[in-house]
Amino acid sequence: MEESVILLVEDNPDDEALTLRALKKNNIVNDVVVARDGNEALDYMFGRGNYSGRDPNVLPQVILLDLKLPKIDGLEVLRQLRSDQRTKLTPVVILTSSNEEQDRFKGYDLGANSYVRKPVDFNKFIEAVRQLGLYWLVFNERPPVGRF
Amino acid sequence: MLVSGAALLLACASFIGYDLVTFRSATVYNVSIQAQIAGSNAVSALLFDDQSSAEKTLSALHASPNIISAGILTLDGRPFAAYSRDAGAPIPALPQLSAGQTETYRFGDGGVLLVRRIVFDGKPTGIIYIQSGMEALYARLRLYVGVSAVVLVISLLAALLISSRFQREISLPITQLAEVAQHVSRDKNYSVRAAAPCSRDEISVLVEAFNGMLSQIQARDIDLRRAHDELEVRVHERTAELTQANELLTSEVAERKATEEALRQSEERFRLMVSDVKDYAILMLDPDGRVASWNAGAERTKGYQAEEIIGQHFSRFYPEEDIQLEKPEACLRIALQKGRHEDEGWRVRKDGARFWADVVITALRDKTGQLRGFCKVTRDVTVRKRNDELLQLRNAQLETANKELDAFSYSVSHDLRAPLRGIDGFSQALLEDYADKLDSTGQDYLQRVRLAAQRMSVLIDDLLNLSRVTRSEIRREKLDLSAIVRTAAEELQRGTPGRNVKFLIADGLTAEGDSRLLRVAIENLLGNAWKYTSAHDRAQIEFGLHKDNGRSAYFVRDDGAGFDPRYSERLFGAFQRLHAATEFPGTGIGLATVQRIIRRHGGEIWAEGAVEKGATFYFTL
Repeated sequence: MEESVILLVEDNPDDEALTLRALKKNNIVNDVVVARDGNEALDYMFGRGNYSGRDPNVLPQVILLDLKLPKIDGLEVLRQLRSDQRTKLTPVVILTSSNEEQDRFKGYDLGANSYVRKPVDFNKFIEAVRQLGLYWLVFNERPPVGRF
Repeated sequence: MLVSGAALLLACASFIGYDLVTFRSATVYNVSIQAQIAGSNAVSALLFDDQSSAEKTLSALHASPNIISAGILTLDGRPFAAYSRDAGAPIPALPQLSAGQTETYRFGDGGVLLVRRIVFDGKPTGIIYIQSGMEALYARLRLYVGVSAVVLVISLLAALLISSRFQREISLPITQLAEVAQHVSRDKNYSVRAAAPCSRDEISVLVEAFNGMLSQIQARDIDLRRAHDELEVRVHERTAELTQANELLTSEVAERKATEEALRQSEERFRLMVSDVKDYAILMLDPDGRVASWNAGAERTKGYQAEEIIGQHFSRFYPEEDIQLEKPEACLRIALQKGRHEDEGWRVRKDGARFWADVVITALRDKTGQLRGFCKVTRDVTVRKRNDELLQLRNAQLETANKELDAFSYSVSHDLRAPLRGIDGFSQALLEDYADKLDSTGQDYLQRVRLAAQRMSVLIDDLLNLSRVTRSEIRREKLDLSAIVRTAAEELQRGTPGRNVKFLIADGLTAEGDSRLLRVAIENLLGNAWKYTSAHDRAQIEFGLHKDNGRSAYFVRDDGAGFDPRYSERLFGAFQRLHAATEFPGTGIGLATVQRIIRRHGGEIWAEGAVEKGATFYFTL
């Protein structure tokens, strides 16, 4: 099962609003699920907590993951996603303020598919989101579901 | 024979002597008798003065052939009558008769002269003398000598006869034996043998025994000679060996002496050196840990004089708590097991003050492995210890500071930019969604808000870079600087295409350094050159190696806006700018970052330039 949902993991409401605006500006009409901390993101992915009842086999098309998050940070979320059979192939784009070397290294090391730094210039941010949407929602072929 | 002859001769002589004495006394006796007889016969003649009867009486003496002369004298000494065998013979000188003496005699003139007083009726009447010759004696003597000679000759002949026979049977073999013995003793020839006599008697036994003895001596002599020869050979060999050994020994002794002398000198030098060493306490301990020697350094470090500490146990240098833990003994034990023990710890001076000591204890063993004691070298490293502690503290503080800085930077990196994004993003949203409600001034303000936010964002990024340059560890590797410069140049041209900038990049320039940091530095320098030539239609940016006075430096040169050399010092200060932001954008952190990178590589950076004459940045690594 698959759906064209975008999971946005973002604790800053300003960034959330700006990201949603940027998506809208780029005419990306996919459903966007917002998780405001790492724990909520994992609950969503594995169908537990507030999201119990959700079918964990239904995976978002792409996860936009911030790193600095309350409770469970982005890198830990990524680690847990990658260590679960169901979610280990799900595309994860790290979308964060920092370009710290350690973050980039750990992000890729844990299996992130992409690392995008959020520009301060909002026009550039819109452009980044546009390209991300185009790439991950249109051009990119999703990984196959099931076991081989 | 000589002995028997001599004995015989002596016997004859004593016999003759005895006979002579007897004969003389007999003669005197006879003459005395004749004088008495003649005297008695002549008494009457004297009394009557009858000379002729007296002479008759005397002439009767003629019958005795020995009587040579005789005479009668009156009491007053007048010759009264005389007789003489040969007529005309004078009266001999008569020996005087002392008073009371009746008779006296005297030997002489070949006979005896006897004088006798003539007594009649108890009264002296006259004196008679008779001179008797010794012819009879001599005749008798001649006879005796003749008989003796005959006896002697006969007995000698007999003796000769007997002895010649004896000689043949006894003396000859013995003489021969003696000759052989002499020969043997003279020539040391034990091969000769005495001839065995014909008879089977004691002599032959003796000769056989002698010959047997000689045979034994000869055999022994041969054995002895053989032994002697062997001994000589062995002595010779042994002597040779000994000579060789001796030569060897001599050379060894010489060598040893030289070695010992060298050793002695070396020991002396070493001892002097050790005793003079002031920074190290060097002391010897006996196998039980008692101090055996003490140098100047020990005196200085521990405060004891040699005479008060030698013989004391070294545990007194340890603090009380270490002594209770038996640490001194443990140190010796480890040194004993491993040969050497290194230790650092507190020690106590004589005055009770503590010092931090660096101690090496070495076990000293002789050739046989027997423990002779320990050498203990102690150095007071209290200052170093304090410095180390201080350094450790500083390091820990620095590490904490760095961690805090890291956390701060991380936080800045994440959290400081998010609000800026909000400011910029919502300003943009206002401009887009509410443009109709804002006049141009309002819109301009919002644009300014956005630009300020964006500048702030760049500033934060630059600051983070600068801080990263300071904190990150340098990993040196061989780098192709020319390639790094080329890549940076390409990126600049890609970033702003359409500019007419010519790059002159020297090939094959390499350096040792941290690739990431040097890339940042080169990007900054090239970025500056790119930026400050932007006002010119054509520009040239050059990278190369400049050699001056044997010192070579890499350089990045441009022909752009340049700078006022009066302010060249301020170029590398953080947030220092020589141009207005409206003229050339920038935060003033780029060159500060470059300088920090170069300095962290141990290099230098400096700049030359003039306004509108371009700028050259030199750096070494």
